[in-house]
Amino acid sequence: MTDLLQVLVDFPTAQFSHLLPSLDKALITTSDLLTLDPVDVAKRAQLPPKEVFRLVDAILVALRNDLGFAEGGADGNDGGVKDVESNFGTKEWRCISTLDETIDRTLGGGIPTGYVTEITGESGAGKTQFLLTLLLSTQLPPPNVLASLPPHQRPSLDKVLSIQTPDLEAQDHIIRYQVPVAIQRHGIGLVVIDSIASNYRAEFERVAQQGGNGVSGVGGGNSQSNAAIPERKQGQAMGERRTQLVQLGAFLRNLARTENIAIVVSNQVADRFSPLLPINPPPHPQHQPHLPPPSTPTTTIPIITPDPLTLDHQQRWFTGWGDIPDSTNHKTPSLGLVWTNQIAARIALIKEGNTGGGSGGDELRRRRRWLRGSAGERR
Amino acid sequence: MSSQMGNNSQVVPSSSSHRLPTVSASDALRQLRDEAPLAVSTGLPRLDEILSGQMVGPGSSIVPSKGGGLVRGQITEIHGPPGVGKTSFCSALYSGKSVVWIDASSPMAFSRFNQMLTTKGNSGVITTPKTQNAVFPTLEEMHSRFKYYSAPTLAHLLSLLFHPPASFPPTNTSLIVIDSVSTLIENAYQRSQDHASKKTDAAKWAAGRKYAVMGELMSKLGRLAAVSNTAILVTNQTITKIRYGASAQLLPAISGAEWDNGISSQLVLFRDWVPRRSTQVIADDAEKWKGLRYAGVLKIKGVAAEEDGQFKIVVPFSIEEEGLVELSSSSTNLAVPILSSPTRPPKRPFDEIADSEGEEPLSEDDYGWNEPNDELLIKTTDQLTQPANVQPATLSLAQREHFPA
Repeated sequence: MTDLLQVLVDFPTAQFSHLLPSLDKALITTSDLLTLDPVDVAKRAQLPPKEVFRLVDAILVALRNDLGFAEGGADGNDGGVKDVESNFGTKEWRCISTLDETIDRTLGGGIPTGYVTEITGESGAGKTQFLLTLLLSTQLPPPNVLASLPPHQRPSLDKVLSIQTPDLEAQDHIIRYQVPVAIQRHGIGLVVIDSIASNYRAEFERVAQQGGNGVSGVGGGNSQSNAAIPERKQGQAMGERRTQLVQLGAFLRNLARTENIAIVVSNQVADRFSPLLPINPPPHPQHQPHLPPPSTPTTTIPIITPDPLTLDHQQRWFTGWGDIPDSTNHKTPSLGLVWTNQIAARIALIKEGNTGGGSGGDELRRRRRWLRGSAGERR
Repeated sequence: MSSQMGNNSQVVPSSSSHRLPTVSASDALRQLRDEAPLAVSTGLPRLDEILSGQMVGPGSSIVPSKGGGLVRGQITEIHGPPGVGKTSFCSALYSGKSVVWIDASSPMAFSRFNQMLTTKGNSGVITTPKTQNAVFPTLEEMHSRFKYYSAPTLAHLLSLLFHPPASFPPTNTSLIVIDSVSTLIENAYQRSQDHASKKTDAAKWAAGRKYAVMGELMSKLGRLAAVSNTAILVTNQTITKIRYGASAQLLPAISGAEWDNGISSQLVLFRDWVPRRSTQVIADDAEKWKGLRYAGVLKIKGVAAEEDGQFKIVVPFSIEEEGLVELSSSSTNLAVPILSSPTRPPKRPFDEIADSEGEEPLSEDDYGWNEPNDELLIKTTDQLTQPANVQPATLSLAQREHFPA
């Protein structure tokens, strides 16, 4: 069956191996098995209904176990509650310290385990440095005092397992198959992907560009036949990328949740094109109506930007750039809204200050932005 | 006969045992009025009133429910851009009864939830005099009423709803939260690329399953809400849709005719600039205004609250440690603000516009997805936009077939 092993990783397929190819061929998914009458499924896949019933029952048992219902418990109310109590009251909020008190406090303790966190920023903003800090900090035993540790217990890069992902296919394979094994074998506490976007940008933007070049004549003889295709090609590439990002996001979230590890990915940024005249200018002092003092019983009408539900406007708050009315030079993290929907938190590193002086002493201003999680949003 | 029955309010035993007892209509109506379910408070008094239908003008058909907030027995959907506070909105709901939380994406931040509960309990923020006169329960009590399930895939959710275990939903449940349903559906049903060329019978069938499953899920949720008398809240992420001549619009990621019909109340959360205000705002208040969010009401109790693609009811709020805090300088007077033009896209734009021929097709829209049901175009990058006052228009894939490139 197409997705059974993605839904239930440990499902014992051996005893149903005679059913699965037929279900696969009929493109019947686990969701279909659960929503349709097994008799219909059996008809569609040309299988004996009894066997399909057996499979559905087995799937249900496995799913309930996953959900925390103890199957077969004499009194039914025992299952869910037990699990909830065990992980609700006692579940501690484990974090990896960033080794900076202010940042830790803002983040509610550090980078939490069980979530996918994104670090984004311009090149040179310190993303990799930040990630290296995390790699070392996660090795520290609880009190986090480096000096008191004997040398052999000190954090070291030797304990960092590094895997290269030369291209997207390799990256996908490594994340899906090698990383889970490594996590279990080595007792990993933190997985860092630096950077999540580079392979996607390299591969998908190249596809798009190839299409574009075809028109301008680089492709020689092929260019004419390609002329109508590039936009379509680009669109297809974007659609494919979207699919992959959704899958990757779901996989990483699941991994973080089940293994209770922190997954931190870094992301690159691109320049944000905005119209010369801002579509949604912040209200200027001279335009704003005089608001009555709170005591008067008249209604205050909130002044809302016209057309607030646009991506251009709303992304000021979820990309990390643009939520200060008069700021300029906005960046947008790569991979777009689709990827933003996948992550639990985004931390934007913003380099500010006099860049004219030199590369070294720029003041780093870090703003962090929780999409979901403990701290709401502060800066 | 019927008046007699109404007076005695007796139930005539039915002739055969497998039938439901006969109840007269007047009885049923009275019962409905007297035992109107208590709503689940959102923590925002104004929003509660709006959601319970009390704010709607005279002549409206909406029957107000007791207490304010999410109506029990119905499905409410909220959507909004990432980070706007959908999950926090859900966490801040308060009902005083059992709650089921089904997590579909990242796990819930329990420490944050506890923090919300404790600050709420200590400060006595929750004052629902109509519904609660008991003392505020302790943290442990509240935990015992809170059932948490994690559903990593759509199949998990379906198994919970279509083949519920004996203990689901727990008795006395007043609220079921599914956060977020779009994650599950989007992950389960990917847009496939290559089916245009070789579309077998099975492939055609499988392509239609997404909407079939969504519809069945919605009807199941509706039934669950009605039977167990719970409020169901689903959150939905957003996707973008290109509008002709204007910038990309955010839309709920999961929508469809059946889906939208099943949802009785719909809210959208979004952010905006802090309005510049007169100087006498207290510093503390100003801090809250920094985290300003708006909750726009699109649909109340099955009645669309939008007109001409605009919605007019918004409630400003901010998310603080204790939960949601309403932001309104003069909350004494509860009039609905009429906004100039927060244009919202028409609900099912493609159904209406797909055949209109007055517009030019956008060639850059061509994403190569030929799935007929694929009604929403995604664009993740910025686009260079023209001024926003150009008449917004929408395009569908169907249109492109009328205008081959």
